[in-house]
Amino acid sequence: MDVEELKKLDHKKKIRIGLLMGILCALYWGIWYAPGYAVWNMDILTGLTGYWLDPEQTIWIPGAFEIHNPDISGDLINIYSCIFLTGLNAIFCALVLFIWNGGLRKLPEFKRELVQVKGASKYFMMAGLCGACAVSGTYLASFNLSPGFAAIAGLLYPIIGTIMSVLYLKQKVSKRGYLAVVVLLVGGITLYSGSIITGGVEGSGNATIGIIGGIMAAVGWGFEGVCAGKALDFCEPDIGLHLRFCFEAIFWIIVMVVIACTGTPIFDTIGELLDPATLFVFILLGLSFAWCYVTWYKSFPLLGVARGQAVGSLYAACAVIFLCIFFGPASALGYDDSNMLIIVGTTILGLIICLVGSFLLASEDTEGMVSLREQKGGDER
Amino acid sequence: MMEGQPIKFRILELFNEKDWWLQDIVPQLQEEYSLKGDYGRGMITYDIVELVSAGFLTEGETVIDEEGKFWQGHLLHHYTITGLGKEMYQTIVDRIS
Repeated sequence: MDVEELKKLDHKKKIRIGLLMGILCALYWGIWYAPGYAVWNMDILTGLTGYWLDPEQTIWIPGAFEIHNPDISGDLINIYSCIFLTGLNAIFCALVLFIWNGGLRKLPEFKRELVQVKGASKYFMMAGLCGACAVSGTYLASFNLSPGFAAIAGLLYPIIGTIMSVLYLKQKVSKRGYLAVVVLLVGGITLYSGSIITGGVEGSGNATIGIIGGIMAAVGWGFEGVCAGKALDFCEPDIGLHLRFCFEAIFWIIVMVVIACTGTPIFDTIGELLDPATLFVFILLGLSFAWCYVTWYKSFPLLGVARGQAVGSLYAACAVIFLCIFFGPASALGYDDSNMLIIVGTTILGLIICLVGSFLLASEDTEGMVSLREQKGGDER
Repeated sequence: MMEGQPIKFRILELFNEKDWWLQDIVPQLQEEYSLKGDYGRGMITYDIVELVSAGFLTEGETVIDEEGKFWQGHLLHHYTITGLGKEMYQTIVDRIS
């Protein structure tokens, strides 16, 4: 085999590994919604939010928030619960990644990048804050509308990711890439239309907060990809995302301590983590989300931010499938008898259109694309 | 200046000084960062691949390592820093100094 053939093979191998990383990211990300939704029915959260004792919904057991303040609104309870859950999610991801990076012998690099605030860690701090917005938005959408809606709403993040990767990171995006963004936008409008028309399922929460949560997820993840892409240019991906989760965890710990200082009993059920079943679910949350990020961040240098995000977008289909398997279609997509047709129709149609958009981005011809960024004229030494 | 700093900072510094062949730069970095063995070699090679993907380095001449002096049967590239890589290196220097 000559050098040229080997070079072509090498390039194809890089793209193949990038695609593999993107697909693994989609699987891990998709399965994350299952423990993320299940945890709402565990004592650690029902102890805070309250719950119906019987299936007929006649006996209400108030949670710690309501006991502390009987006038507290349901929306505020939702928001506090999402903060609590997002914070624990970030803490468990950070812990999982300590083990991961320890095993990979990368902890010395963690220290080197952490202390380089201006040169490295500030970008991961920004990515962590954008991620905090995205994950809390996902939980808000998941609780107030449905986990299926939350998963598909997040699909819109490549729109922000693609626009910013062109404007800010100066990466190449073809006409096909722009067409994909338009298709994704149409898919997003289709998805949102069902929930806006029907207002979600009565009694499951505030549909408006759910819709805002969906937008937070898309915008947060889009900007996170951009901040991360900027920092990944000169940092180790495994360390970068570890720093990102550490900063997100610190952010949420500060937020939760501030909430606790106002007298709100946000830590009342934290002892439930000692329960093996609860701990197991949180470890699953940490493992699936941390590994989804490991593979997501690894796909960026090999595929570029725009295409890395697009392949990862298959997570929405994985999430809908996993949620339907574990919780049944009604809970997964958030419908009842009165609005089944509209919700199922717009959700599935939105999903299909978004996947077409993602496919358009992901299936571009990559021949000749050795570098993902436009080279400036005469820059060769 | 970049010794003991994050590894990609150091890689950019070394390339800013001169062009390198893969088989020459990797052992030096393995020594500096205590990343011995095949695993360390693979990790540093991947870092360089990422810098190429980011557009900071460009591949030049390529030969096949037939003698197995670095990685038998694999490609050995000669890398050069690009204008963008120089800019990024300067940005990093300005930020950390």
